[in-house]
Amino acid sequence: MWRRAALYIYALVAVIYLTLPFAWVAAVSFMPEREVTQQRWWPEEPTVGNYSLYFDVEGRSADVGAAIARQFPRAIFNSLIIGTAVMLLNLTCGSLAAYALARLPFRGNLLLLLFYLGSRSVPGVAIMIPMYLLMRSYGLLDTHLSVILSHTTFTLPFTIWILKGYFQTVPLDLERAARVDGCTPLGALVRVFLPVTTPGLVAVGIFAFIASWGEFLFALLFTTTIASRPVTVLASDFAQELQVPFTVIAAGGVLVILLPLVLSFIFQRLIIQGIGGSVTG
Amino acid sequence: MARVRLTNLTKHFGDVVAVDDVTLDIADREFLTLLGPSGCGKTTLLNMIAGLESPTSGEVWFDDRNVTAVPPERRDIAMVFQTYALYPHMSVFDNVAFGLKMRGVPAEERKRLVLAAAKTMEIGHLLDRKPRALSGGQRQRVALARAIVRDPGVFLLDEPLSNLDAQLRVVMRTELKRLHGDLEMTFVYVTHDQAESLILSDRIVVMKDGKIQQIGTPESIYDSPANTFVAGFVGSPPINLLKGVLEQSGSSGWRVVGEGFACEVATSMVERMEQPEGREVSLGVRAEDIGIDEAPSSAGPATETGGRTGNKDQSVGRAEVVVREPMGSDLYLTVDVGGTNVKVRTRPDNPADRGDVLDLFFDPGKIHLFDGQTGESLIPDL
Ligand SMILES: Nc1ncnc2c1ncn2[C@@H]1O[C@H](COP(=O)(O)OP(=O)(O)O)[C@@H](O)[C@H]1O
Ligand SMILES: [Mg+2]
Repeated sequence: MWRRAALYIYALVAVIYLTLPFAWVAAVSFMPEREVTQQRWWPEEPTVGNYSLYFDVEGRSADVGAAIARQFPRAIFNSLIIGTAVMLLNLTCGSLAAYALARLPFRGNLLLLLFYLGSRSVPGVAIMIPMYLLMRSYGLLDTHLSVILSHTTFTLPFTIWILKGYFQTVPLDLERAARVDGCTPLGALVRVFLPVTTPGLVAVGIFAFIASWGEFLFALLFTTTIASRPVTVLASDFAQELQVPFTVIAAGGVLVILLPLVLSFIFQRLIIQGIGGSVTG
Repeated sequence: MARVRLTNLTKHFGDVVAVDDVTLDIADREFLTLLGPSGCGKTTLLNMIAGLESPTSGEVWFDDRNVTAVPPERRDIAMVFQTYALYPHMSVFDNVAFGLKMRGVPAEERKRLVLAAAKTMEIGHLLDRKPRALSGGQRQRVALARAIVRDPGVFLLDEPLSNLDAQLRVVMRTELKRLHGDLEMTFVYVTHDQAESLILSDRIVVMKDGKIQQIGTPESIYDSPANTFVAGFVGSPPINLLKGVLEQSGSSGWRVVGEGFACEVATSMVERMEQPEGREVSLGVRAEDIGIDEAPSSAGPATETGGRTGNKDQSVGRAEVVVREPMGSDLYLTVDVGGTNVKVRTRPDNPADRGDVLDLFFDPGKIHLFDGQTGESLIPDL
């Protein structure tokens, strides 16, 4: 009884700890400016005025921060392009690599996996400069591709790691049955293995997307104009302009969070199944 | 329709020799069973016939075609897996139709064949379901339907009944036998259940540690086991094995003498041996080939019991009953022969019980002699 209660209290504390900052940002985004200075937790007189700057298509507003806010839709579009591409790259390269690691015994199997994971543990800052030089020499600066490639380098190891574990829970007999039923090895992969592992693929796909969406450092480094800037980088511009109202910044924050949040909610069952679960025939 | 020939087939997994130099000729439409304990290489051998595993050395032939290097999708086989391996994302219909689809059978023909196979396996009402909504027995039927629908030449089954409960297993066993009668296919059936193998097979291949121990009809495997392993593995309860030495008895006869027993053996068993005198042997005798007299307490004329054929002066020894196990139609008594437990089958109305001391009679035509060291059969007619 007490243990149960303690468990619930612990869970509650954890949830509050994790969500409070977001909840507060969301609350602030609906406050009139003066309420923030009063250190309110909850808007007394809620307003959507803070969001109007972001959808000011005609560009008439001359408020502080309006110039940045006006670029948000385009930046979100950039983030979408980059995130989707990162997700697709993770799924194609990641699933093939994980399949090989899970199914085909070859020498150095484990070593290769450790190498992938090891590359993940190198802090981004450490390879920033070489990456920048690489991008510059290939003329990729300020393109979507530069951000896509850099994001893929740090999401792919995780994808491979998770998928390898997940793939190993698929009974080998399933592919053998497919082979006996007339599939080539590739056919068995495409027609049986991949459909069966959809939850795992969705989960890592979403993770890769969200990781890319939230990444800042590489995106800041490689992009210079709104042609390629993702929304995280654009949002940071608020910090450089003095006196942008905190409420407006909060509204921008909510817009940045919104998509990953919605995605996680939509796919939450598949994600849980894919990360914690296994495939059973 | 296919004859399957395996020549010197060997499979290594690293240091493990899973299948060791197997040569086997499986006749067209034969029901052949690979029988052996878990880990003896049955699945690996079956996978090599299927092409799912490539042999380390040796060849696989289907009729006059060397298929050793042919991938499974281009061999004319179907397979039922121990775990059924139904495709979880497809309906039962699609599961059964999948193989036909992969082989380019047109949709209408596909439907006709699936419905026919579903009818044979009595799963017509399940076609729209997903595998997870099926019971174990139903999954089994779907797996069989998926295999027979393509009308393969060779039908491979890897312990298909082992995941079913005992009752269902008996039903499906009969079903399989019927199926083999109806379909003109070669069946290669893997099991670790000796009863299954005896009931189903035309021939049984007994395996141990990747090696073939004996090939033969169920009768010959049961009646003339090639070694103590086969003798002990096939038959329920397992054969009784008693250690002893051969010695001359009287002028020309021979007998095996061991702790608590002395058993006459036919001269024909011994005459071709070199130096039989003093040779260590294991004497094998099945529970049903042992006779006992009535419990000592009961007077009057002795009734015929079990496989008893001899009379009192052929008694091999006296033994005390340690366990009495009634099994409905039979009664099993475990008796203590010089420290070795020996199972005896007798009629259920035999009153003998724990503590009684009985005379034992071994049916002289049914005893087996094995080398005391190697365990190989010493009976020459093999
Ligand atoms: N893919 C594999 N890798 C390594 N060892 C294996 C593999 N498959 C089977 N073995 C080994 O080969 C032996 C025979 O296995 P198997 O054919 O599955 O036996 P059975 O089907 O008779 O239980 C076992 O010792 C098993 O551990
Ligand atoms: Mg097996």
